[in-house]
Amino acid sequence: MNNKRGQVIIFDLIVAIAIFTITFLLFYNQFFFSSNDEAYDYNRASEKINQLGYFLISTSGVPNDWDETDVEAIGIASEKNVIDETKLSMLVAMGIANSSNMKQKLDIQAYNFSFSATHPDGALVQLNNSIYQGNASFGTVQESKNKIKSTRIASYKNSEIILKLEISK
Amino acid sequence: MKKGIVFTIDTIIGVIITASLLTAIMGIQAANENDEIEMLKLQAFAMDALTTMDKQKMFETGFFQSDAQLQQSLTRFLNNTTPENVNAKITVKMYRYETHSSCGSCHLAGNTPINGFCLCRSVSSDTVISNTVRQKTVEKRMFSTHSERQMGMATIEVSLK
Repeated sequence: MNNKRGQVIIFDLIVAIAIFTITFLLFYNQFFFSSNDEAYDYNRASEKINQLGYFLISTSGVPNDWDETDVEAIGIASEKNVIDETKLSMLVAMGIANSSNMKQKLDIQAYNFSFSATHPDGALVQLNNSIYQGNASFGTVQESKNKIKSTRIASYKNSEIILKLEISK
Repeated sequence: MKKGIVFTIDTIIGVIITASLLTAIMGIQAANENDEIEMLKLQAFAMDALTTMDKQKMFETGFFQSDAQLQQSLTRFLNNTTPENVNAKITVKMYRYETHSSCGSCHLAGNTPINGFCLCRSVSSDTVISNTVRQKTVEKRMFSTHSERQMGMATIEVSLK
């Protein structure tokens, strides 16, 4: 008997490979590019707001006795986790009157930003001094899946308060 | 001989399985990233809570309070600050430096000093603890009074419900 050797590439194998490749590329594109872009943005924004919360409640800012005209970095603490009334007032006043400058100093120009300081019962901290009179809050962030919130606890006038920071694109 | 194209069922099943696996892997990856963010938030809460309590001299004052008074202030703080989706438990331990070989009245951890220290008091408070704990973190903070012979350790355990 004459034995001939041959290689058979089955047609349906080729079709399967083609379908697999197309499917793989579609998934790769969908998840690793578009979805990862969103995830990257979300993670970056989360990182940003966590850093922001940390710097606000842990530092007194630069320069140490900053005001709106000379501030380089905003911090509102007199010491770690202890909020300074004057600096809190300046932050709120700046957030209401000149939010673009404040966002620039906080390095969040690309985001919508809101800030509030509340007592544990939910009531907003009231400021009443020569810099600002009113609620310790400013800015609005629309409800969306891109909204990211950071909550920090600090001491203000020897009572605990809750600082809420929210950003979204 | 006639030629034909054959779509075998195993090809289709193979593609479906591969697509499912890819989806699952990507889903797990996304979930892990979310978990990391949640863990950072938990750690921030734990650190903030300990630092704020310390700045309010809650621990230092505790040396001069009864266990019930200290527990009351710890409970009040946790109730005021713990987010709804978080369990929190704080334990405050107070030690005394002992030059003698016996701990005397400070014998909560035994009668013999450990590295010179005897445990005098241990007070704890917690929010409602849920059985289903997803993530957990523990932070510690040491504190002291002006007395050289006293020191304390506050430990907070927080977890996501």
